Amino acid sequence: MKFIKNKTVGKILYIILSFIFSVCLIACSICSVIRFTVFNKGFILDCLNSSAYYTDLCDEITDDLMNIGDASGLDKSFFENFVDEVLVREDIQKYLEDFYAGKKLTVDTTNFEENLDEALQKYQSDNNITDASKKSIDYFISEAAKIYAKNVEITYFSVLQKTMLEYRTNFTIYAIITGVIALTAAALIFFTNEWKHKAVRYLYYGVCSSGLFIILVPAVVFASGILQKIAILSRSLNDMYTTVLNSLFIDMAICAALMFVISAVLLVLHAKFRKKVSES
Amino acid sequence: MKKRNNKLSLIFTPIVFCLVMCLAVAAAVLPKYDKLSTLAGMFISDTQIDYSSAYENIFVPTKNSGDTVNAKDVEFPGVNKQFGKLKIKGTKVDAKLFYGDGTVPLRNGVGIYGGSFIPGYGKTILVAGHNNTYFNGLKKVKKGDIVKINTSYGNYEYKVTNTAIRDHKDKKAYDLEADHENLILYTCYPFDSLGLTNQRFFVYAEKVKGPKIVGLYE
Repeated sequence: MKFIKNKTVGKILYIILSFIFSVCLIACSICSVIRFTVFNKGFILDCLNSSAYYTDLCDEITDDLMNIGDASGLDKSFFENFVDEVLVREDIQKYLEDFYAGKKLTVDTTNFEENLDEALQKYQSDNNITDASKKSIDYFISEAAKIYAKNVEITYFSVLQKTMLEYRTNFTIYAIITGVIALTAAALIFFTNEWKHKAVRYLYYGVCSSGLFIILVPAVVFASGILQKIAILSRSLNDMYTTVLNSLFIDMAICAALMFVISAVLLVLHAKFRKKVSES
Repeated sequence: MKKRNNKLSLIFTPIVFCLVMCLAVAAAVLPKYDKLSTLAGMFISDTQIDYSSAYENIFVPTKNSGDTVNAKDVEFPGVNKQFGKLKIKGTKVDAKLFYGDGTVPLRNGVGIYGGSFIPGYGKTILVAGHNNTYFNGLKKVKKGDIVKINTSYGNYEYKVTNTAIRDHKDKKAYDLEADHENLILYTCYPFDSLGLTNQRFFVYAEKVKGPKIVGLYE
């Protein structure tokens, strides 16, 4: 040991440094995983695509529209193939773009209203309906548009927007700060230690304990089957939130697995350095 | 011996580190456990949600048209459950009666608004239905008509006293705190026209016969 002459004090100091390295590595990893998953538009869009979100949502919109259709003199078949999944996808993507850009969250229902108006005109001409009041038709279209918009707005997102964006910035800062501290601690451990096999061992303690800690949450979540118990009344939302959480915990497990691989490499290095020392 | 200790420390030191961090996290989370547990309870359930539009039917016809029925003999309906039938003689109204007036009840029949009461309670029963489907026949209802409601715990009859067209926001159109049993049926208005309006068609009826539920608060 170059700077620390007392062996016991040195050991304690390196253990403390190793522990700080571990805590910072965990904080940095968790902040980074969350930053690149939950706070990332691309990740949410991938989750929406990989779950049955759009199909389920179209079914739910159709159900709600059929409900007011039953109160508006429309045949049951009118809404059967009316909801356009492509339009729903476009509107949700636009909604998410606004969400992550911090813009005011609104759903532009112009295209939906135009499509509905066109379909109603065709329905009237096909069924020889000539006495429909324009006021009633307009009111029906505006109520249907409200239903469409309410479904496209992802529940809880509008409430969470401000908090989420604040956390996104904070998590980036936390990840950078804890990352720098972890690197500094690792450098201190490695460069101040006379014996490299011991330095590598302290680094191994930090990385391996981080891996253990990070794997704990996904292990508990997957073992308890808690994700299957999520019960949100809307099937599409249930699918979406389950997929998001599932992917988040899988990413955490991958992060932990990566740390175990690094730990294994450090163990090999430790053995090599130790062998060198005993040979010399 | 030293070599063995070194090997053991490679196994146990990371575990001890992890345990210390777990304890620190537990110490931070425990004071907020109640809040977190309540929050989790809002989204987690032991029973899986049934997303199908199928509904449960607890209606079993009975012959009871007496004066009373004990509350303990009544199976109180849950939301979206069919617990009876509603029929108006001389009209096409002949529908399954549900508790709740959401999509499932109104798709399959007519439904009692959750803020009102079920027959036999001695209070207001507010029933909704679509004008294009199960309540289309309300257009033919006139004063003096009899509305029959059959449930598993008793058969009820209500005599129509009035009909009215009101705005959907008109709170005076119904009195949910009435101290006598009365039935109000409502649907969108006008009938058979394309589009939606703010108007609702109300049918008011008073109880003629049917068992009163007793022992409710015992």
